[in-house]
Amino acid sequence: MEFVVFILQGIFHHSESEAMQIMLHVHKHGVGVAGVYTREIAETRITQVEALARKHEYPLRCSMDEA
Amino acid sequence: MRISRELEISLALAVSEARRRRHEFLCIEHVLYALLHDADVAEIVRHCGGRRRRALKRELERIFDEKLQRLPNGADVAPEQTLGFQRVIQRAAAHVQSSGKDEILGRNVLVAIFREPESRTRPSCSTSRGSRASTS
Repeated sequence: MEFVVFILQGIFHHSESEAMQIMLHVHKHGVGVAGVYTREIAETRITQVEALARKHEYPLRCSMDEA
Repeated sequence: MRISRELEISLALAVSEARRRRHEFLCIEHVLYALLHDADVAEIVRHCGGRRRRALKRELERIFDEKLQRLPNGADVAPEQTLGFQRVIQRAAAHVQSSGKDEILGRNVLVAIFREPESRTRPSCSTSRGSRASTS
């Protein structure tokens, strides 16, 4: 849970309270929206998240869908 | 293989434009915006029947303002290249190499942008008669 908040703040620039809200949504529903971006930026952020998750050995999944 | 002096200037301009606007990422839009200042590229866009350079620049500026987030105040970090940006440069380099030339020009990067899937720059470039076929 701390790692999800860390990602939401560090990569997606959410405030601590926003990050907590999104994290709790993920916790309850299994999925949450980290943000809405252009396709190019979304795919780049996904690779950033995947690299960090792999480095810290967390099985976190991040993907993009058309808004 | 080397990058032409003009393309080097365009890429530096793209970076400084992203930085000036405090964008976290260096996107294809920044590259296209910078390339439009290259007389050779602007001429190609004009001949392909694309939008006028000024209209295209205005549209890109609208994308910069509306679609790209700004970094929080005080943060001054170098913009990070997006995957799309890297693909475009790699594609341009591969094309130049396979055609037996040794210098990547702005026009090669312009053509490479057209192969980028769902880039926001494509509708801008391909308005009117402009398309990849007519720029390559």
